[in-house]
Amino acid sequence: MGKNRSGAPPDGEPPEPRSKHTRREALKSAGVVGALALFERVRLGTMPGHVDAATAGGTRFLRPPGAVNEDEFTRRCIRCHKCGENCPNSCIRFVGPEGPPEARGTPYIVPREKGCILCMECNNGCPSGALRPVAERPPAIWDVVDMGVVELDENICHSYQGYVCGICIRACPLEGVALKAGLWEKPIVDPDYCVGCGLCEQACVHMPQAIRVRPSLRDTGRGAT
Amino acid sequence: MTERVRRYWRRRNRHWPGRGFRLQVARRTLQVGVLVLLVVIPTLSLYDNLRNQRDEVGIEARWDTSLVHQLVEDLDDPSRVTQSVRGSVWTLKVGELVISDPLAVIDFIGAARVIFDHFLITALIPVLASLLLGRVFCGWLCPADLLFELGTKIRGWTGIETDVGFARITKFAILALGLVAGVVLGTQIFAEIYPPRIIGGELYLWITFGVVSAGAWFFLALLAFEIFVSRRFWCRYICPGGALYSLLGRWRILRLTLVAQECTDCTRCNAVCEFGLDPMRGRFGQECNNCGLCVRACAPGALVYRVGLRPRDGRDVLPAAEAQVS
Repeated sequence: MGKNRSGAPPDGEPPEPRSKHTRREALKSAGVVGALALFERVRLGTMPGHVDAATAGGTRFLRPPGAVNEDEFTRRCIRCHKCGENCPNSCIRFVGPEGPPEARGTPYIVPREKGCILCMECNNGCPSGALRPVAERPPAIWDVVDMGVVELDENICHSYQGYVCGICIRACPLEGVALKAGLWEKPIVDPDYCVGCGLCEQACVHMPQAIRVRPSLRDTGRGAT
Repeated sequence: MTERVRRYWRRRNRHWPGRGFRLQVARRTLQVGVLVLLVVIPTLSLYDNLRNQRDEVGIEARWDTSLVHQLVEDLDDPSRVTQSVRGSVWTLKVGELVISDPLAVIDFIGAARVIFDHFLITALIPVLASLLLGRVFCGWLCPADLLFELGTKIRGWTGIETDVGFARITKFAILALGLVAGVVLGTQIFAEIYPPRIIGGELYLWITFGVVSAGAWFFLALLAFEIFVSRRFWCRYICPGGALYSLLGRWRILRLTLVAQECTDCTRCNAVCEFGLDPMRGRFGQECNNCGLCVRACAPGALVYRVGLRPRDGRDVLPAAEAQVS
């Protein structure tokens, strides 16, 4: 016979079906549950209880289009990464372990590096309703999508400082509606129609960018459901 | 020659390749297939997305030389292949069909505090499969199980005998406590500690962004703990998903059964059982994942698969009358 590799009793004496040391096992198991709870406590940090999850860590994430409001989003997202897999623009990233605990593993966009092209592919893949399906047409886009609103810093914007630029207006997918051209290509933002896709921020030639997306919390206003 | 091979197999506590052996070949093929799929899906998605961006500077060279491109470039519509499957074992999309892990649905209901029927229905297939076949996800599909079984093999090769036992009921407690904690805290507890999701998620992050998250280290620590301290620690005592599948599979129809008069009391089945169950007495309980390792180990062929109801005393022994004697 080969040596008994699995720690079972030798031949003849069948092993006991149930452990005799049930009390000791129960204590050890309680220890494991406690350790796991401690692990979760450390992992989740001081839980804000989701009263104001989006601002608790001082971090706002620019969510993919069609996202429900921030608090509900972090509760609904099952961290399956499907939106990132579906994104043909590869602009969706995921919050790493350094992010706020309730947001870890959730998708976000860094518009300065790559803005959202509003193709709505991410929404189609979301199984848990964290991203709602949105039609890929302008009325639906500005009715439902509320990723954020851009803020323009006129003090550094080329067009406002005497150098005609207008790059951001050309980059805007809702050109003439969300971002209008004023005199000498001065960009004029219409917050009612800007969905916060961030393509203008990506395109801005000024360093640092003169136009920035301020991610929405979707507490009020359009997009709130 | 054949006799030497036979002796080799006998020495390794396995009988000559028969039904039990072919079953293991099928099981390993499935498990490795799932692991390969978890690599293939992010690769296809990465290729597909880069292909969509081929107008951008520098992208073209990257996707043009890829292996996936060599395979699909001659097809009429490559995107039909590259977009056919998305997700991981946590939630998978094949064509229009979406299949989700029941634990993902439970976790979601706890954290979101809503019943979202579109998501709920995606767990239907795994739930039905578990009701009929028992804990088969654990034994036949779970990529973490494959690596944990490799851990058991490493224990055998290196002769590590340390095996700290815990109470099996722990995992049910963790399932319940996690659900309560999820409702109270409004966050998903299981998603980041569930090994199959960790493996799928980390492979995606690694292939797409070249980074891994904290989950990878958690899983490796778990594997090390299983090898050095407690055999199959996670699946036997901790896994909330395993607990859920165990509950669903309690009244499974496909049941491993001991044919009492064939059994020679050699205890090999108990030695190979990954979950430390007691096949020799027909005590498979609700935790058996129908992996069939005991079937392969049983030289006289006393362990068989049976389609039937759960015996009243919970002991799968045939014939029932002799069960009292053995």
